Amino acid sequence: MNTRHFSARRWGLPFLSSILTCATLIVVMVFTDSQPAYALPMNRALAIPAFARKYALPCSACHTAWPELNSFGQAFRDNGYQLGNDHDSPIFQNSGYFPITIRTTPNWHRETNTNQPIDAVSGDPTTTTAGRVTQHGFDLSGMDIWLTGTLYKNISISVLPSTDATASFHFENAFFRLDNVKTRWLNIKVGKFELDNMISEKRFLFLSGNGGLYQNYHFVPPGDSNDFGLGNNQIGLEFSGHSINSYTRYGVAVLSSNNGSSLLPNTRTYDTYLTFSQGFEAGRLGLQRLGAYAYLGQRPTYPLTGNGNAISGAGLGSKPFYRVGFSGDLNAGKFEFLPLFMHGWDNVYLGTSTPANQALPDGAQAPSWNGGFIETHYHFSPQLVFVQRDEIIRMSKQAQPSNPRNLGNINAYTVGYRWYPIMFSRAGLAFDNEFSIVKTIGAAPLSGLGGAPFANLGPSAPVWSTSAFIGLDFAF
Amino acid sequence: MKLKISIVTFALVVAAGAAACFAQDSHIQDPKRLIGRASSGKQAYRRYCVGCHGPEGDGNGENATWIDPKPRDFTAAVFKCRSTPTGMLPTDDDMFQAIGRGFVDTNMPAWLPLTNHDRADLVAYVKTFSNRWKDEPAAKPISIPTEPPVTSSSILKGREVYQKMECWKCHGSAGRGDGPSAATLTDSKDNPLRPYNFAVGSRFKCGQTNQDLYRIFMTGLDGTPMPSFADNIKPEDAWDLVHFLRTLQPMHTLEAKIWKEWTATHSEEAKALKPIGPARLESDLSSGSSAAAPNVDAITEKSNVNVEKAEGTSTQAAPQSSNTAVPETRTNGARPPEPQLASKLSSGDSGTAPIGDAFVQKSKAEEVEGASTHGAPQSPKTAAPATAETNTTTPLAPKAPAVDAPLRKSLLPRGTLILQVAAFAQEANAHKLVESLRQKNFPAFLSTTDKEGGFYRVQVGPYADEESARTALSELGRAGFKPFVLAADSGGINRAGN
Repeated sequence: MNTRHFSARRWGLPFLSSILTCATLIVVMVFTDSQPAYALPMNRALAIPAFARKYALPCSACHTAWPELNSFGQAFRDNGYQLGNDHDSPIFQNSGYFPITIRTTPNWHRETNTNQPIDAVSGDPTTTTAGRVTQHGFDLSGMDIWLTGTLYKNISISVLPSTDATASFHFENAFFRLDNVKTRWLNIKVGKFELDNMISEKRFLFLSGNGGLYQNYHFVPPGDSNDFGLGNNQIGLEFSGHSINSYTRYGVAVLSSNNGSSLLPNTRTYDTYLTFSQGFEAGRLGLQRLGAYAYLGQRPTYPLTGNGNAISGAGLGSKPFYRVGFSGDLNAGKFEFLPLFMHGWDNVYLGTSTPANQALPDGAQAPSWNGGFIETHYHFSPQLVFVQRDEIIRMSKQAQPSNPRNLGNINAYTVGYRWYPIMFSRAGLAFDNEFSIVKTIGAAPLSGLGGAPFANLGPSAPVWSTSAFIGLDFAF
Repeated sequence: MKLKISIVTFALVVAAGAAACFAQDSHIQDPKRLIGRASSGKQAYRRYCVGCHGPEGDGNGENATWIDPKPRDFTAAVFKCRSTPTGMLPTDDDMFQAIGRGFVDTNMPAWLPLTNHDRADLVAYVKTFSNRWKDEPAAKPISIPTEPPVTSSSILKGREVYQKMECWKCHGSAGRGDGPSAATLTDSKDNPLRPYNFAVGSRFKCGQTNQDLYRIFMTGLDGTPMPSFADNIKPEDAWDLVHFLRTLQPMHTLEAKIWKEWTATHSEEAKALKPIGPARLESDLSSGSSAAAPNVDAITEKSNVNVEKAEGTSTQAAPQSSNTAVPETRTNGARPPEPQLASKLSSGDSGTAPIGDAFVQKSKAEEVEGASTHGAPQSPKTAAPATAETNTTTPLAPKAPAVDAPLRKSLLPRGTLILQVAAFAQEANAHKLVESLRQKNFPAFLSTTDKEGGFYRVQVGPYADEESARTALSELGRAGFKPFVLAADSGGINRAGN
């Protein structure tokens, strides 16, 4: 029912409909089948109550609705997690101050996917058919244990070991930052960190399986060997600067070409990320920001080998790619709009997964695409926010001429709300309820591939994925 | 006829409503003309401010317990940073700038990332917490004359003003905020505070320019012991003081450069400069110099005017420390080591603890003179001895505070106690307060103990014993005043504890 509803009205759903849909979800979700549930996406949104405790400010001082930053929080972050008063340096802190935040989200969620390979007879892999898989149950989101703050005035650090739901750790970020090096226009950060995206995926308001990520930030065309995602934290060196109120901001980062993975897994080349944004006041409408970004990278197409085995960190035949676009943060009273546009391009060797020392397939060309989204927040109060997002990706050039024109296209829609029953300067709790639906063409394992064993599915057959999510998101 | 009455009534209601709405607006002139709305400001206040200032604006937010200095109590409508004369409400622009500037030595950050409209709305909403904004007329900013050129002569004159106005008593001889009285200072709510330390080089509480510094002198920081000097020093002297104070800061200012050049080229003259602070006073006394400064209490006249003004409207606005002239500053959150008045009173340690601000004077006596700690005489039996001798040498009152003999001296038997409420440069203001106090059944009178300085002291008493003095002290405190205790002896009135 919901699938048709959202499919027919993909873009620009009336806000009222979103609210009603969201409100009915709780009832609808009760009447579902019972199967094991998928884990939630690993893109954890982040807020830092340790700072609220340090500076005795409520969450709402820095967040429109945590974890999304407002202009004050952005300036605070740009200034190296410093307010510019006597409380910045740890030596002025009460020795009982504990600069660590822990966050997790116990939840119930439901996931459905159409056109999945299913054994017609359970346990018999020879009779596979396409079917719908529905899963739901109570779950954990994983956990963040985040230590961040200042070692001394204008010296900031962050270490964020993060786990999945099985407590398998990885470093989501770990960096050292020299702040205000002579001027606020020069700050230097080294380590693994989030790219300076004006619309942050790490601090957004979505947690569901399909809605909990920006499709544009992680998209690569089907069959492409590029592993880059703009939403993934990267390893490198960043220079950044900002005006006193952070209305004007820039960032220049030099990053290893390994998508944020440690242990030098790929190549010896480097990527560059450039961002610039400018905020301006529009009377009673509030602060408006516009920004542009460009990621220029390269990826190896084949490895250097020894005894036939790939040698880590010594990839060869690197080929370029880029992501460019612009974004905004537009306010109109209690409404906030976050538009983003992205143009992506990958070298033909990457697009066809062809090693650079081999011949390209006939007619192969560099794939390119355009995408974007518009996200809407209605901040009813600091303790209640309604959210929705329309997202789209459209391929403009396919790497393989035989591919359908729409192979890789994505439509995604998410709606929900977050309610903060408590809003103190010691801890945060949010009741998060959302629903998302995504239509992908060419997504593994079935859609777009066509042929046996699902001859009835053409190459443009979509996979519909839905997520419903109810969770208690808390941070302390 | 009924129709006319209805129309008039309706018009009055509309006018009253419009006036009420207007009163809840703020009107910002700089950086551009804005009108802030209290209704919008309420939302911003809830988002940004409520944690510290509290939902009622009384400074009792959930974080207030953990904050030092304490958040501003908007219900009292007493603000430090103003462009208006002491005791007056600030302009909307003053509050607008304060929100954007923050207070570097407090928990109040600079809310500059907020839009101008947000800040204007916040100003409008903050004004709803006190009726003073409705009852009192808008004050005009003081005029700041053009700054004269910075010269070595100006700096030297400023140095003399610093000495004469006894700024060093709180700010210290080198401006490090370590003067003899520094550790004893409290704000109008008895929260301890520290004077500004120029050697740190941070911006001032109310700005960072020379004009800001000048404005601080001339408006005072209401709610703190830092008084207004508007009636005590001339504008040119204030500018000289600004130039001198800039030399105390560690930055590369024009004043510091000129001062450095002067001391390098006039080494003999520089060496011959009299020291600032108590050593200077001793030097002056021994040499018979007449350059002694006016009594420190006298220069609190302006903050006491503030008390007087507030008295008529709200007692919450009234309390003003009556000791010395110091801007509030706290550098590391540490409280002064001296016990609070309340604890002293409750401890019953009357044998050693002076009453009220008297212990400030005790500290002065100890630190300035290096005198031994003699118990603060609280009772008539112990109050009088030794004080006369002390005062003959103390730098705190280089001109022994001779009682206005025709007025009161003969009425003050040795050992009685008197509470000093305020000191005024204008006799009319002093009379006004005396009348006000008498209407409240306080035995108030006027004493001109420093005729040369032209200050008129408002005092209450005398009280024959410590208990009755304490009772009166408490009653005056509840009335919004912060008097301190004086002990009378045969030679006049001396501060208890000296």
